[in-house]
Amino acid sequence: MNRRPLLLLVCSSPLLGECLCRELAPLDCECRLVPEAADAASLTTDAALILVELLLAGEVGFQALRRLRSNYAGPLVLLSGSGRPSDEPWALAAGASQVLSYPLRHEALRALLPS
Amino acid sequence: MLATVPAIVPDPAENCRRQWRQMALSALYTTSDGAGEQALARQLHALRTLLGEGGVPVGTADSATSLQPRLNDAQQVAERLRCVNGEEQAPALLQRCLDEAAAAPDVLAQRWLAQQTLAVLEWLHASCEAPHAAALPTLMRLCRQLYALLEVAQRPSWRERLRQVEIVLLAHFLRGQPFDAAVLQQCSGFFWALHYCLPDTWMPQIPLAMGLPDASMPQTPLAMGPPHAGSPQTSSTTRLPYMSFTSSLVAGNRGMFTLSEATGIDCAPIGEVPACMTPALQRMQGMLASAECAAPPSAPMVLQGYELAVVALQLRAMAAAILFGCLQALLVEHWSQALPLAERRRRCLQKRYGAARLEPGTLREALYELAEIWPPAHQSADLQVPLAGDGGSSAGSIRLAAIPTLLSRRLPTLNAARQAWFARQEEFAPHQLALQSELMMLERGAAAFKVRGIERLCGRLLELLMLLDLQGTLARFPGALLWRAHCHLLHLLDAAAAWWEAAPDQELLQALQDRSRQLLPAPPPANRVAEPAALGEDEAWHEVRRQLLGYVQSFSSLLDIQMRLEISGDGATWPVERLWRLQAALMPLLRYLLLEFSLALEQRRALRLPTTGCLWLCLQRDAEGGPQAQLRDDSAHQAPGAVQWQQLQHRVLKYAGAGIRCEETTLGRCFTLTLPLVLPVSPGGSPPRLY
Repeated sequence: MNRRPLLLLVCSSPLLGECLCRELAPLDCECRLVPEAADAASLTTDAALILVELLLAGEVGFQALRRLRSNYAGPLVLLSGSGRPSDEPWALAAGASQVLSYPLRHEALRALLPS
Repeated sequence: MLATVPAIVPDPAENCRRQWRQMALSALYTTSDGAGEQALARQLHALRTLLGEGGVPVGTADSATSLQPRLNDAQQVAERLRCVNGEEQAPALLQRCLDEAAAAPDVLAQRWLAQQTLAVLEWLHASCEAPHAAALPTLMRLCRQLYALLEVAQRPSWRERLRQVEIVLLAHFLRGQPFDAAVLQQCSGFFWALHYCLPDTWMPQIPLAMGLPDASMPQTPLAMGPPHAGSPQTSSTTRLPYMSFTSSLVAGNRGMFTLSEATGIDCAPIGEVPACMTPALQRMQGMLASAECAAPPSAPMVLQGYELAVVALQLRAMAAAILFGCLQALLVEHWSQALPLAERRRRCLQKRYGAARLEPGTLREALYELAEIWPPAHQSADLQVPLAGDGGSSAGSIRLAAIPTLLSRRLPTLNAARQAWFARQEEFAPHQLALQSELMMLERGAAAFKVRGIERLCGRLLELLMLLDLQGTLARFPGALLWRAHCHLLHLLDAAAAWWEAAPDQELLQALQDRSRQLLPAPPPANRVAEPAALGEDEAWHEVRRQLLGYVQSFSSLLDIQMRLEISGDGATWPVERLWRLQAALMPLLRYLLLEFSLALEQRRALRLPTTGCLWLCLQRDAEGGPQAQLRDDSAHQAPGAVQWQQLQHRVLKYAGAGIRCEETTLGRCFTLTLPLVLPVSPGGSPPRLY
């Protein structure tokens, strides 16, 4: 039986999490909302994609990226609503594969998922 | 900088009327006085210029066309008055003429509008080459004037479009997003379109969608420059002006579209606040209501503001997203500057977070209100901070707001560091120089941004690395401590890059300091140094370095300041005797600089200047091959005062037979010590006595 790819969303805001899950619904993934990066660390082996919120990840998103990247080789995306251009290079240095800003569009993530 | 935004000239519409009345009264007064014919002529000339000399005035108002001949008559009367004093006909004629003109302020407003638009275009043209920090507030001020003029000139459609541009610009600025030449050029498209439209009495309603990508239009921004021959204003053909006009309009729309795209927000003037956000909005209002007056916004409040902004954006409630984004920027500004929310700001935040729907005009009004209440500390964002790069050889100035960019782009070694590098000194040595260079840059940037945790940690790390370098293989390599400090530094940097709180680990700072103290060489006695003459050049050079560093470190510790000395150059090739004299000459200079730095520390804190100092000593040869040392100090720009300078010169000569001069540079000041082979004669007539 084919399992749907697991998409971890590290975000401590239920309101934002719900909005994002609604946006990601067309991807046909199992979207799991995890409030803290520390909780996500134990689920990384099954994850096809991990999204980390910049400020709502239980800690600063860059720190969460480093923590997750240490034992996860898959696509790791930072979601940033700060509008600061420095987010992208710093996130890439911290281990992110990509940085996306709001509004998040599911099309932007489709290419990152395994076919 | 933001303070200039609310300091707008009085409402241009009202200003227009007021100036008109002033001119009229002035003209009447000078006429009835019987002695101001020339003043009257000047006023009439000004009126004629305003209405458009020698042509049909802008617009089609009857009052304008009837006004022009009367003004011509009045001008003739004024000229006659120059010859025949006491002409009684003039005041009555002039009064009638001015009455009519006063009834047509819209005509004047249109003329003014045309002038103002041209001024904006000229300004944009000048600013596109080199946009600067003040560009956006200036543009917003011009927009605000235009906005009011468009109302008087009865151009509601353009007024609506300008409102959208204003919202984009203002939101862009309030959110602290970078503003560059591209955005200015995008604006030019819009203003060119407005400029071309002004002479026409009709207002074509072209939907915004028409301005979207069009194969017939160039993708680059419109070329800047005055209207060329054949433009709608001068061409006699019908088709060309129409096409040209339409193209400009479409390009203008595209300009606005790309502008909004570049800024990452849509130009939505009105909209509902999504109902699902209500609980979060209520939470925010509760936080604002219960916040202490004297306290800055709390971290949860800033996070709540961020959540509201991104949720509105994700739900594509664009008007709310723009507003909440700017409110969030205001909260962050207070939070990062540790400023308490003043009552007026708190009321504004409560009111704006309480809106369930944004009516037309509300967003613009709210953004201008925010600009007015923006904390004045924001103005200091223009502070220029000199940054010293690799060993002080390269340097530049950066804007305070650019610190996170600096953190993110110039630290490849820090980010690439692995635990294995810190296992042994041999593994660490190849990376040490690059790491030190990045740490030094970070220290300066962090000081400017008042991220004291990073500044202190970098200072301690640099101090330890320098002492380790000095001790060479003699010291035990504290790999574990360095790796721990490195990880902690990255942790602090991650927080700082997100503009979040960065609290350093005090225990770690203490451990680094303790380790440095263990490595600190015993300082030489002031004014008297152990003579390394019995040593070879290499050993002597090492000994001189050790003693100088030890002196700076121990004296800094005594004064409770952080000051480092970086030494480079070809000291190993210097004769031992010169090294010894150099050391003797440097002692009083270093002491003076350390004391001066200590005395200015409070002032430096207040000015956001780095509280950690660094001196660069470079040994080299002068043009004639003689040894020469330069000591660079970027903590101050001025040479020492006359009395101190005299004392310094005296001591340098007395202790080392050396000459000293000071030059002011763009980055600070530079002291040059020359050590002649033949000892100079002191003012008393005898050669200096060397210790």
